[in-house]
Order: sequence, then structure tokens, then C-alpha cells
Amino acid sequence: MHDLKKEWAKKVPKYSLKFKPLFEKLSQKYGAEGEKKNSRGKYFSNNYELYIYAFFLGLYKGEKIPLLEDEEKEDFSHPIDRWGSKSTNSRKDFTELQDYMFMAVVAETEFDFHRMEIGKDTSASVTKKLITTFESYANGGLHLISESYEDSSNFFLKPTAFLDFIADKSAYSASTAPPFP
Amino acid sequence: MYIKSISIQNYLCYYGSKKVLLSPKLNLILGDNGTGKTKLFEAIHWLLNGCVSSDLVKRVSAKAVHETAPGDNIRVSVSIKAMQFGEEKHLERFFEVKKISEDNLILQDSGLQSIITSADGRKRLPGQPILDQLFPIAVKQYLMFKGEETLNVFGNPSALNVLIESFSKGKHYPKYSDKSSFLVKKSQDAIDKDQRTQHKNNKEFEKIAADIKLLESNFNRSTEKVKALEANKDKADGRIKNHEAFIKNAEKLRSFNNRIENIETSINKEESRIDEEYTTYLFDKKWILNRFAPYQNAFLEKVTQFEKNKRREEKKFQEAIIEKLSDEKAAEKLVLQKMLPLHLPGKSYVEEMISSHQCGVCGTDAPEGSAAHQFMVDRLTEFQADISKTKKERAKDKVLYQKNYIKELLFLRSKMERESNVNIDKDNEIQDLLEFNEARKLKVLKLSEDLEEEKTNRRRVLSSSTIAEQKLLDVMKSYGPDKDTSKDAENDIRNLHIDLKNDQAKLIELNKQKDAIVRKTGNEFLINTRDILKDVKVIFDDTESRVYSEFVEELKSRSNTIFDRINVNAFTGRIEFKIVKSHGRPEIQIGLIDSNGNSFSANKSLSTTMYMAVLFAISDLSKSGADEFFPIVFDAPTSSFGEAKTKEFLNMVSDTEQQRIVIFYDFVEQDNTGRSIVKSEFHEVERGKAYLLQLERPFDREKIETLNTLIEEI
Repeated sequence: MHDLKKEWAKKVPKYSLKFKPLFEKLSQKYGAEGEKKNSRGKYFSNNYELYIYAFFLGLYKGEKIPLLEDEEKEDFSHPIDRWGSKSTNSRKDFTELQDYMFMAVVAETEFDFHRMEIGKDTSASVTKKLITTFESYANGGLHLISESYEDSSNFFLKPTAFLDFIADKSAYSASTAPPFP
Repeated sequence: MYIKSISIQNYLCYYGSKKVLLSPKLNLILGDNGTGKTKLFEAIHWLLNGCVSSDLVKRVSAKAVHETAPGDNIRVSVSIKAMQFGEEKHLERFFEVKKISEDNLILQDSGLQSIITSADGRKRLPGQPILDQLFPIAVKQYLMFKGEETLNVFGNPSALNVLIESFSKGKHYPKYSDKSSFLVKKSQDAIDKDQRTQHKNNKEFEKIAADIKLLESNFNRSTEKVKALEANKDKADGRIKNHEAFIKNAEKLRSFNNRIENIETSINKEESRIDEEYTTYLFDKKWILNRFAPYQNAFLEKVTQFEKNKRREEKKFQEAIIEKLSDEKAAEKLVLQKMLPLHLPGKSYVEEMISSHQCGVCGTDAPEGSAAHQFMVDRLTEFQADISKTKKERAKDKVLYQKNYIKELLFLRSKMERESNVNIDKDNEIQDLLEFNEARKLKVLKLSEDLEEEKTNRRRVLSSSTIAEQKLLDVMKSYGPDKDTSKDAENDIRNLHIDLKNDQAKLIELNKQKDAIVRKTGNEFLINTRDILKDVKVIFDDTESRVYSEFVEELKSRSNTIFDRINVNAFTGRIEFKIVKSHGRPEIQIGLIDSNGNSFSANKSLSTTMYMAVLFAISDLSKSGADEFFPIVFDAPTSSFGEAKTKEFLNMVSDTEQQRIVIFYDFVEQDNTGRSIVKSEFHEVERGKAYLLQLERPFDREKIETLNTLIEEI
């Protein structure tokens, strides 16, 4: 079976070790929902949610920052194909986002499809390129989040903060609504 | 009677022996907090009332215990010297303990003793009779008051009866009334007995007698019922009257509370509808894809390009192969190959066709050397060569692309072409939720403002009320049912009175008939006797009721005179006394009414002066009953007054024939060494004698054994 998406999704992408504190601040390591998530001051239920968010943010903002060879890296031992599979009442499955992430990395990665199809290049080498693109955008997104957080740790206190940050803020008139009393 | 002096020895903070000389009029004892005011009050109370012997050792001065060597005794006593009917009476309550250690004291002796000094000399007497002479049991409960709360003597339901018993001629009447009832019954029994003998066989008489008995029994039952209903009605009316001053505020409070509860429910409801899980929805509702369209298009284009390129390269590749096959046969072969797979028909079948020189498919003869025969031989050769190739060699010969990654990419492309709009266009959905939440927040904001306004209104009601919130709510709860109870009782009483009136008329008629029969037999003497006794009973009953009313009127009049004197130049209203029956016994309720007869609720200091006026009026009455005054002791009776009003009040009550001892904390301040001193304003307060309580210095606040109260005359 020649399935590039499957091969890509088996990978465990990495991020720079310097962003580990950001993951600790913003996401719940072992998953938490609703009150529990909020009471711990977390915004994301899982580390991979933050990673996905960072990827799309980097993608939309054009922030593609490859991880350096000598940079210390970290991962959360969770291959992409497991991201978003939910079975709780409060959350929905969002494994479908994997398709979109894959499409984006395919669209954004330069590789010789012909050479791969005729067998001259291995799929592993292409997959590596795809993962590099994936990690680069996520890294770019993490840089953006980190900078905003450093500027003001209150940056994400507003409930719409992450939505505004990733969406075109001006598109939503209600986002200027007064803060909740 | 008045107390000339009080002596205290080793009683709690009063270490050693202390003596206070008192004036027959107003005596003031001042003291800062913690200097022993209440202990002095308790010492006098102990002298008058005693305590259980197990409590005695708790009253020993800690300093005395500390200063006494183990094995030695400590004597504790409180005594007074009082003047009564020209005699000086010395009354002492005492006990002695032996110190074993600091915390082990053994009671040795205790008692109450007295010495009387008169023109005949001195004599020692048992204490209890002298105590009862000095402070008769009936008046003792009106002599000592601790704090403002205890001043309402009518808070005790038996107070009126005790007062009547002690001070009113009315006390004599109930027994006469009971006796006359007894005599009326006896005289009636005598008539009945006589008639039963005389009219043994008079059926008419027996019937009338039986009817009377039945009617009387009904009459009594109804009377009891009326009494019970009246008692219930009185109670309900009493509560209604008390609650009337508060009912408006109570209604307002209930209405504000209801509104507050409704608003809070609405706020909770609106808040629970606010859904701000925006970050979660980036994933669960795929809002994160809202700007994804360009990337998806890029992907679709790229895959389309891959596919195009692949088809083009594949075509080129096939064309190159065909070119390589130069001869027509090869081309035919290729055509045939394309028509029929190489492995069909099978190897053994082709071998059989070759050896039989006949085509097994169409039945044509294929002799050796014929084209058909040669075709079959070539086909077999080709097949054998083909099966000897590796799988890889065979595939390479026919296709350019060894891999088929395009298939899954195309699958993903077609899936996206079907669904992309569903997932990517989220603007409306996001906008809708934001607007929905904003509208909820605005509503909550508006409701919060309303809530604050209602809470302010509620605070206003509570601050204008003299009773606390829970009491106001209780007023609201009982007011309606009390009104119903009172109205129902009134109706029932009215109906019962009609029944009673009818029964009474029937009884009179039946008795007349009975008396007519009796008179015929000549026993008129018995009937006349009974009628006289009946008249006597009516006289006693009426007199008793009148004496009660007169007593209460007298108390009211005296109380109001004193009340006016205490509160000169201030609006006070008048004290109203109402006799209500509770469980068949008369009780007094007192309150204030304005000039229109409407009741109103008094503030605390006005209530205090009202209760005190009643108290002084009772003292006046006690004088007219026992022909002497008794001293009254107050501990902190004016705590709600403030110094200015206290001064005014004391000046009013200083002009009295009755001895009064008032213990309080006003007019005291501390100098720079921490010692208590009396404020200059106090010199304007009229009094007989005044004392300042002061702790002996130095002392350690944390060591009770260092405390000793000194009594300094001002």
C-alpha cells in the first residue's frame, strides 16, 4: 500500500526544547476538560492541541522556521495519527484535522513526486521533507505564541484570545465585546 | 428599707475586705470594663439568692488563694447592713475553704447569719427569716436587673399574678368567687334532691331536670370553647399588634427577596448559556480551518498536476515501448497480448493444441508449418520465457511507475472536493456564537445592575427596620395566618355566643318551669336561698374583674407619670397596658402608642426607659402594699443611652425616696498611666454616693491571681 499520508502520520514530530515551558503553561499534559482544564489555567487539553494550533498559526502567518540541526528537541511520544481521537462526552473527535495538516504540508513541501512514483526516491525521504515542513510551521507558530506570552502573560486570558490570534480578528465584530463582568 | 453598707470579703476579684457605704437614695458605681462591676452585682445576687454548695469554691478570690499558705483557711463573705422599721439588720452569707494546694480547696463551712440591733440591744438570729423580711420573695424578682434586656418584667407570664398577689386587694377575690360558686351548686343540689323525693313519679319534672342537665353540660362545653378561642384570638391579636409596626417593611423585604431570587435565577440561566469554549471549538468544530482554503486549493492543484504528469509520462513510456517493437508481428502480438492475457489459454492446453495440429478455440486445422501452428508454438515459448522472469523484471517491462502513491492522494482530493465547504467556511458559525454570547453578557450586565438596585432597596428596608432580617421574614410568615386565626376565632366566638344566648334563654325558661313545679310543693325557701347565693356570686365575680382592671389602670397611670418625668421634652408616646388571657390566665402586654392610639416600635433606649418607668411604678405600688420601699440594683441598665442621655436619666431618677444602686461604665476614662479617672461631666450628675472601681496596680492581665478590685469613693 503506497500511502504517503499514513507514513507521515506515523511520525512523532518534534519541537524545540526551549518551548517546553510554554507547553507546561498552556496545555494539560494528560488531558483535562471543562472545569478541570480552566481551573488549572490551561487553554489546551493536550500538548498536541497546542502543537496543531501552532502549526496552523505558523502556516497562516507564513512563519516557517526550521528547527536547527544542533537545537535540542523534544516530542510528546504521540504519533500524528493518534491526535484528536476523543471518546469523552464533552469533546468531539477531530482526527479529520490530520487530513488538512497533511494537505498543507504536501502543498508547502517541494519534492519530486515523479521520482518517488518511479521508485528512484524513497517515500521515507519524502516523508522526512513533509515532517520538516510540518515542524517548521509549528516552530514558527510557537515562536509567535511565545513572543505574545512574553509581551504580556495576560495576552491569552480573554476567552477569544486564541481564536482572535489565529483568525482574521477584524472578521468578527463581536470580538470587541466588553469583557465578561 | 434601705441598705446602709455592703461588705465583700475575698469574693472573686475583691481580695481582702472591702466596704461600701450607701446613701438611702441614688448610688452610682462606675467602672471600666474588667474592673469588677458585674462581679459586684453577682456578689449581691449571691447574698440574696445563694447558690449550690458545689459552686462555692469557684467564688474564692484567686489572689486570696495565691497569698494563703497551704493548710490555712480562707473566709469568703458578702454582707449588708440594712435599716428596716427602726432596726439595723446585719445579714451575711459566708463560707470557708481550706487551701490544700493552688487548685485544691476544701469547703469547711458555709451559711447565712444575721445580727439585729435595736433599742433592745443586739441579738444573733438565723439568716433566712431576716433575708425574707428584708427582701420578701414577692418583690425579690423586681429588685435586681442585669443589662437592659431583663428590664421587661412582663416578659415573665406570671408577673401580673405575682403583682396582684403581692400588692392588690384583688388577691382576696378569687377565693370568694370560688366559694360562692360552690354554695350556688350546693343550694341547687339541695333543691334537686328535695324535688327528686317529692316528684319521684313526676315525669314532667324529671324530663325538665334531664333537659336542664343536658343544656348545662352543652353550655359549659361551649363556654370552655369560647375561652379557648378567646385565648387563641388574644394571642394572634397580640402578635398581629406587635407585627403591625413591621409588616410594611416585611412585605417590602419579601418582595425584594423574591425579586432578587428571580434575578439571580435569570443571571444563572443566562450565564449557563454563555458558551466560550472558543479554543476547544478550534478543534472540535474545526474553526481552525477557517483560513485554510488557499492551502487546500494549492494541494488540489498540486495533486492534479502530479496526476497529469503521471499520465503524460506513462503515455510517453508506452509509446516508446511500441516503437521498440519494430515488426508487425510484434505489433500484432502486442495487440493479441492486449486482447488475451499471456497465461490464457493455459500451458498444457496450448501444448495439446500444438501436438493435435488443431486450434482448441475455433477448431481450425493447424498443420505443421502453418501460420496458426507457428502462432501456437510462439505463444508457448513466450509464456515459458515470461514465467521464468522475476516479478520485478516482468513489471518493468510493462509500466513506468513502480509505485502508486497517487492513488491515496487522489482519494484525498476527491474527499476534499466533496466536503471542503463543510469544514472550511466557518465565519457565520463563529460570528453567530460570538454574537449570541455578547447578547447573553449584555443581558447579564443589565440583570446585575437590576440585582444591585434590588439589593440596595433591600438594604434600605433593613436599615430602616428595628428588627433583623430573619425576624422580619418571621413576621411575614406569621402575619397572614394570625389574621386568619383571629378572624376565624371571631366568627366562631360570635356563633358560640349566639348558641350560648339561646341555651341560656332555654335554661332560664326550663328553670322557671322547674321552679314553678317546685313552688307548688312549697319549697320556696330553698329556691330563694339559691337565688341569693347566685347574686352573691355575681357580686364577687364582678368585683374581682374590676379590681384587676383598677390595678392595671393604677400601674399604667403611675408608669406614664414616671415615663413622662424621665423623658421630659422628648416625644415618647404613652405606655399602653393590655390584659390578654393566655391559657385562661390574665397577662399584661405593654407597648407604646401615639396620641391617635396607634402603636409604634420604640428604639432601644426608649424601650429601656419605658420598662424602667413600669419598674419604678411597681416599686411605688410595693410601697403602698407593704408600706415600705425596697432598694433596686441595676447592672448596666443604660448601655444604649450614651453619656448625655445617661446623665439626664440619672438626674431624673435621683429624686426618689427609693434606694437605687446603679452600676455602669459611663463617665470613665484612662489617664496616661492607664488608671481609670472620672470625667469632669460626672460632677453634674446628682447622686447620693458614687464610687469608682479600679484594679490595684501593678497587676498582670494574664494572671488572675494578681487581680484585686479597689473601691474608691468619688
